[in-house]
Amino acid sequence: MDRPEQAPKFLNLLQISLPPGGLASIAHRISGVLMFVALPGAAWLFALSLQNAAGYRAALGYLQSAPVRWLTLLLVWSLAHHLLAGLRHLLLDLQIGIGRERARASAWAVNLGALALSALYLVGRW
Amino acid sequence: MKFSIYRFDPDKDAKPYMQHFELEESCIRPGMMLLDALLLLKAQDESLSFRRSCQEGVCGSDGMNINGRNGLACITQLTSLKKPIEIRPLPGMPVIRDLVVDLEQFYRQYRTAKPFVINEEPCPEVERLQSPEQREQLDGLYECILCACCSTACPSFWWNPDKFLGPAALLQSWRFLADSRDQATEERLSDLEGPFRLFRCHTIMNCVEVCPKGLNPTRAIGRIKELMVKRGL
Amino acid sequence: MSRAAQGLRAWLLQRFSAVYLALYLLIMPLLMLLRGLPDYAAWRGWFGQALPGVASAIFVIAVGLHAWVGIRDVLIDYVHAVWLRLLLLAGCALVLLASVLWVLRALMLAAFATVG
Repeated sequence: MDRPEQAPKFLNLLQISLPPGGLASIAHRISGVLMFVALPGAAWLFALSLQNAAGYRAALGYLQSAPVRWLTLLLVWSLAHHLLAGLRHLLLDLQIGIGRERARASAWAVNLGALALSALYLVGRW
Repeated sequence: MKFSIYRFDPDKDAKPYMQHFELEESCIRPGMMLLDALLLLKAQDESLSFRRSCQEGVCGSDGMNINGRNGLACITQLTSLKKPIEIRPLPGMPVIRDLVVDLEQFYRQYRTAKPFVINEEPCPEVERLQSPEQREQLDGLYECILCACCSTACPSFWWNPDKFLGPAALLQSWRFLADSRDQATEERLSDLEGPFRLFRCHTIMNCVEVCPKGLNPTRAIGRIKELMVKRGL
Repeated sequence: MSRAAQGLRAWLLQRFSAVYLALYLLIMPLLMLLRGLPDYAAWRGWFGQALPGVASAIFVIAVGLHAWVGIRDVLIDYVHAVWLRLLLLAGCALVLLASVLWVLRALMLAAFATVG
């Protein structure tokens, strides 16, 4: 018989079901990493906006430029999802909504809520 | 009724593959469970391998990935499943053959949780007594049948099965922490410190989704964290 | 990197910083909207004030700590080679430190220097 180290494992993520809680969780992680990557840029932009009037205008200019607009939409979703999922996490830590049905429902609310907030932002910006 | 089942024979196959099976509709009886179907399919192909024993959801032998979701074949109704039914072994564990996986890592983590009452006091004449309220603390914890559906559904366990204890072992850890007869609270909590043993749990809650006994490892792990905070460890 | 980020401590740090971040993100933008900050002078004036300035400084530090625990969790989950993980952790720590200090410097300058 093969040694366990050489034995295959079933781990095709595309074939394993992703419940709403799982989706909320992986999106929480992805949104966190996205914001981490954006942090240096955001820090620089913020400092630029505080420097002087020219810097302020430049910062706004960058934010409104074509490629950056899509980035800000992505980051708005990231913030929205991370915040909502984070609040869900804090409640779960307090054992609130930790039963199977409630946890599923709150996961749905988080997943949809983040998309809704992003849509709101998109509409508001238009 | 069509089935697609994961096959792998280490002596014959270089790689696993999915084999298609079919059961005549006339074979399907009302209330039939997936295990019943698998036994009929085994009659078609003797080499099809899977674990099973009690056929009633208490031994935990026939845990497998059914249409993407972990569960026990003997208590999964055929009518509840989308067809064709896709059956694969429990995720993340080395496959010994077909649907039979090596659960050694799972058992090792279970043992690490010291799943027994630790009490240095001499044994009393009768049992170590518990009030009904104290006994109630064990509800939702003692019923675990170690089927491994939860731990093998947990991404954190997939990525670190040797260091993260996983939902089943952690649930048992809480089962003994919560037991009034156990005296090793400090020892148990210290054992769980560090970034891996307990803290790889990110409250993904896949475990709760799949437990065939309706248990809640996330809640148990939350209780352990609460206790840790209270103890200021 | 930091031994103080073991298990429970890291988890608590992440939770506490999260609470502050959530409160700041819910309250601060509202206050700013109510005040109305139409131009550079108003924008800088806002962050130059003591309360918004300090609250924002704490916010940035909290972001750094929170992001640190988060990124560390991601690296611990996926990067099993210890030396590579250490390298990446150090790199991320540097990026976070630089970003946080960059913003703190900007906030301090806004508080001390006269408006341009």
